[in-house]
Amino acid sequence: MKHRAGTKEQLKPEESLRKNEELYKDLYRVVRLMCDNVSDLLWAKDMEKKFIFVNKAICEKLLNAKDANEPIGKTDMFFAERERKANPDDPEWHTFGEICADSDSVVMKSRKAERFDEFGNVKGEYLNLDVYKAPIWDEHGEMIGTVGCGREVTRERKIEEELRKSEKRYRAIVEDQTELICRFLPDGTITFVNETYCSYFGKKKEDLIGHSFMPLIPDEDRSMVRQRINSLCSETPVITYEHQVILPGGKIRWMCWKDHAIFDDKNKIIEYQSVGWDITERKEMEETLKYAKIGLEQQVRERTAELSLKNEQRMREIEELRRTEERLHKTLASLRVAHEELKLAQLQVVQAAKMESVGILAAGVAHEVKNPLATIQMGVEYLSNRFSSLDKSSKMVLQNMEDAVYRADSIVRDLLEFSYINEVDFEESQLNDIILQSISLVKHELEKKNIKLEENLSRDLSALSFSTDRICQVFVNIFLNAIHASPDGGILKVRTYEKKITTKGHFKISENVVVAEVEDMGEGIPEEDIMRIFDPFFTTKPMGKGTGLGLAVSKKIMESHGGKIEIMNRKEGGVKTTVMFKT
Amino acid sequence: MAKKRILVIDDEQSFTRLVKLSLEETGRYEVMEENRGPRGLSIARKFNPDLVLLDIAMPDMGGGEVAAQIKNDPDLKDVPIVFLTAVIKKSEETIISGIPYIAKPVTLNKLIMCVEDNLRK
Repeated sequence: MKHRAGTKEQLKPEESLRKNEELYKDLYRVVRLMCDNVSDLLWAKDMEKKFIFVNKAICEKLLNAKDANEPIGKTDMFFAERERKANPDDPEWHTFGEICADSDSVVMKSRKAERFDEFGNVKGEYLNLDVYKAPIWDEHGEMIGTVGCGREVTRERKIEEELRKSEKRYRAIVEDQTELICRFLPDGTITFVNETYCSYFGKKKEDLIGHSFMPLIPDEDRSMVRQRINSLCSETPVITYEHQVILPGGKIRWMCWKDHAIFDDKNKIIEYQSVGWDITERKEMEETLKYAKIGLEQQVRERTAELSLKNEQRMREIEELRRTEERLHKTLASLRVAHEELKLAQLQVVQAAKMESVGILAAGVAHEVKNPLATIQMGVEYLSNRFSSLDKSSKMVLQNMEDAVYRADSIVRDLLEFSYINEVDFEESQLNDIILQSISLVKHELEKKNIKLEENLSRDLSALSFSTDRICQVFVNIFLNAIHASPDGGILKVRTYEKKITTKGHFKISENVVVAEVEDMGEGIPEEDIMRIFDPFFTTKPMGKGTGLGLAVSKKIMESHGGKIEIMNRKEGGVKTTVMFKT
Repeated sequence: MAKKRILVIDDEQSFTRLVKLSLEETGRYEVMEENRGPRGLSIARKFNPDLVLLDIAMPDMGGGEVAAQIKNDPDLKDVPIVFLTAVIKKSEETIISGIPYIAKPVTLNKLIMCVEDNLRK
């Protein structure tokens, strides 16, 4: 630098003085320029707070002085007043000034350098200065004034203010959280906790910060927590996990934590931020639910087992019922069969009873009836012989009377058969012989009615034991009925054969029977009569032509032989009569 | 030709009377009628008949017993008997065995034929 070029030893006194003046002048100029070009505010004041030096920056930014000379000898207040006077309508135009004087006093009193934050409005705009003030000491150690410099920090202060407000706001948020918030270092040392955290653990902030949180966690959970925290990295910077904590008094609670790793520029974890909340109730609820679930499952299992047991029982009962039903069905079926058989048997019994009573009746009355008949018979004949000259109608009357006696006698005779039928003598004989004998007895009638006979008699029939007279009577009855039913002639078929019984009925199964079938082509039997044909006295013949005892007697005869007689209408017309004998 | 003597024993008086009338009408028979069995034997002894028509079923004494008495009487033992009967019961079969019978009612012709067939020769 120029002013530092020379040295004292090389200069003469006046020259030295001149040179000194020049040097000072030069120095002043440089200092002046330096001061006026620096953007910081620079000033010096005497003990009366009047400026003895100002730089350009203070003139422009604070005092609104026209140059650096104007403030000399004047106070801050001079300029403040001047500004206010210039803008009387705006009380906010200039509020700076008093604060400067006050800080001057402070420094003068404390006699040492101090720092001040000075602010207020200048030209209607807020100005904030970071001010350093210090006493000016002369060569004798006397304080002769103050020197100060100020740097405009309006913007910085605003930012700081806003930051402060923002932090306050966030702090409030953090503090008002019901969640526990903390920050901690990778080694577990807590660097921050919120109020909730403190109150939750019942500790003061200072007892927590700077210490590890691990003692707050039960032994059994610690390694898990450590593992979780260590698992955080740039790829997974956030994790959530649950663990137990120990409260003052040893009470155990459950917490859920959401840890957030904070990285430096090199992606190295420098800190963790963690938010936690109490989940004890949830855990207890879960536990309760778990137990409830286990209990329920147990109940369900028990009930299921119980039900399946009952179900099995029901199935067994159903099966039993089904079997019972089956048995009942079978029983019912056999009962039905038995009922049918009983009905049949009852019919037969009724029939037999009818015949039996008829037989008994006949035996009882035959004597009483026949004696008067004998008298009438004799009487009618006597009269007929005695009056040979009787007129025609009288003769007819007598003849009618005789016929009536004969008819009455026939009835009684047939009735008597009932009482005799059981008293028969059996002899070995061939059925075919009996049939032929019977045919010869009705041959005349067959010819008279122009009925052709078709015989088909088996030659291999077993010999039977029966009363030939009675069986002959049966066949004569059958033939006479057939003849009577065929007034216009036709064919009378007679067939005999032997067979084995295959269905249960009158005969036992596999019993050998000899069968005779007589078929006519006659009128058949009206359906309503078919049940009555074996009833005693039932006849379709006109009065005097039949006693109605023929089939009743035939049936009784067959029964007395252990055989059977069946009469049915043929589909193609006429009647088929079947007579069966056990061999 | 002497008339044949016929004794008819039957509890039915109307019948015995008609038998008597009818047979005597022919002019060939003399008929004695009796309606009570117990008196049959004594009447037969008195009447000495050529044939006895004897009813089986009678109160007091049946025809069977009367027949037995007659057959056991030395004077009457050869007198032919013809039973008259309305009903031949099983129990009566042994009684009438070997003895002819007429079933009532009977026509006069049959009666006469039977009487003629069995008259004491």
